[in-house]
Amino acid sequence: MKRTAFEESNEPHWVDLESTLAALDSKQPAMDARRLPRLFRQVCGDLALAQQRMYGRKLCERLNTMVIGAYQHLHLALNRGASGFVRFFAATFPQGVRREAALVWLNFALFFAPLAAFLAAAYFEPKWIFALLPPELRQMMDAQYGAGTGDEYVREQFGSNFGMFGFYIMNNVSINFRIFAGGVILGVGAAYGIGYQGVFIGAMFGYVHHSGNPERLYTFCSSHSSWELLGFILGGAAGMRIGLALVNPGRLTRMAALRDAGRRALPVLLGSTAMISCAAVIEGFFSPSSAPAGLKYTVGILGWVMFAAYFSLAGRRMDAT
Amino acid sequence: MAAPVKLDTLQTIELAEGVQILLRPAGPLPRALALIIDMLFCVLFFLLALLLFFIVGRLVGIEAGVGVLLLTVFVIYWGYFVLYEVLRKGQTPGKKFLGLRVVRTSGARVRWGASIMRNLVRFADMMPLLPQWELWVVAFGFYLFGMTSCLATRRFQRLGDLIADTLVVYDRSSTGELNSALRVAVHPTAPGLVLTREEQLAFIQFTERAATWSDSRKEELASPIAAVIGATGREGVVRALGIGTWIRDS
Repeated sequence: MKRTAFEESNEPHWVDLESTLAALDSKQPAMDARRLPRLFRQVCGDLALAQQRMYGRKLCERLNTMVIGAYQHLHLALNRGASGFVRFFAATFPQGVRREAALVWLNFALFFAPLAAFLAAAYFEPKWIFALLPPELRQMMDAQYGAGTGDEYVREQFGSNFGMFGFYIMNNVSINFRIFAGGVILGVGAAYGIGYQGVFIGAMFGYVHHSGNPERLYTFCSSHSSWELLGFILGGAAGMRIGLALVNPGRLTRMAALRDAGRRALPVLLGSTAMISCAAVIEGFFSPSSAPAGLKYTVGILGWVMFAAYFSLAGRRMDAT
Repeated sequence: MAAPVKLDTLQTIELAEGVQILLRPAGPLPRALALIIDMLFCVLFFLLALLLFFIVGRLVGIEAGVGVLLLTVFVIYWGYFVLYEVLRKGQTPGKKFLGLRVVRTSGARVRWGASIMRNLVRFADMMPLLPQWELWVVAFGFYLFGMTSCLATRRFQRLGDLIADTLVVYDRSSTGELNSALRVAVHPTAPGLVLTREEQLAFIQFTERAATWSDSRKEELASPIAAVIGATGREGVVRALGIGTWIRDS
């Protein structure tokens, strides 16, 4: 069959497909979208024929564009909406965390070891803390958590308001994403990012233990501690998963290992982001509120217990997605 | 027989329907230009967020205004690329301007997971960062990692693309002008001998692309097959075009 004859006999359904695709692209209600699969298969056949019979690049590219367009409309991942959301938190996220248990524990240690060391330093060698915290920061901490300050200062600085909530979202989620991106660079970035958080938070807590009023600090921090700290630890683990794929791809090529690691890290990363966003809500509205200290401690401890149960139990009976 | 060495960057992908489609990955330069445009858009959105801040600050109170500003900036900072790529079928404004599109390596459209992944890893691709690297709404780095990765991979993928399994491709082929009229009269002529499939394809492609070359370039390209077509110089070009036209149209 000559090219011109081929073009003439098939032109009607090509035009048909092109106009259907244009309608779908511009979100017009396409009445005849149900015919798309049939048209798609037909044009797939046309493209294969045109390539085989060497009908020239212009025709092949036109058909190629059509096939890609229809393919992108037909081969879409199902958007599961609300049920997908529930399924993610009921199964995919905790399953993903359990699959990365080793890395999660490593990040846990990377965070809590320096934290514990600096807390201990408050009692044995306070000069370590003074070496780390700049004087301006110590002054700020004195004002917030100093031995003699009352509740009023805390409420002024961290008034339970929308502004602080915005700040916590911006700041903390950004830290998490950067810890993750750092992990991509051979895992070193995540180890550094997580370790740095541990050192710094440890030093700040140690400083308050040394020369402040620890109770004020703990009443502020306890309720959102589990959400935020575990969120950072999981973000670091997700980043390390990808960094490790480059260093130790196992039996895969490095490219394949990277893709695989991306798939494994994604649920952990998304879940950790959700946790840190929740932490920002608690930190913005509940932590600085005038709720009694006992309630805040209870909320804090319940948070840690809840996450321990969640990550060890949730989604055990559901298939991995 | 060794696989023929490819000169172009076209990526062949076989669909489940058994047909092969061609994707044309975009190199670092158009992608960098698209990125610059996107950064300008981020700044523009930031100015709008500032306007919102002033309005809310005046109407509700300064603290609510700050909260709204920070939330908006957060969405711009981390969501700009993801929201555009997912909701606009793989095209941020910069990519749209340059005719680029993000797709999965299978040619399908990107969804939330892939887009979030490739845009978070952007911060690794950006390294090394500028000393004062955060311009509040856009983060900027030298993209040394991304550039190296782009140049080292067959499909111009930065680290984020490798991890999320995505590609940036040209949205449509740039061949609109290819069949522009040749300035010589071409008579379809049968080649004097049996040609293999690859040789036939070479003739067809010569015919189709001739309009984009200078005359001397055409003659240069036709000269190695002077023995086959039996002529050199301008006459050789006309013969080669004739054979190409004959193969394609018959």
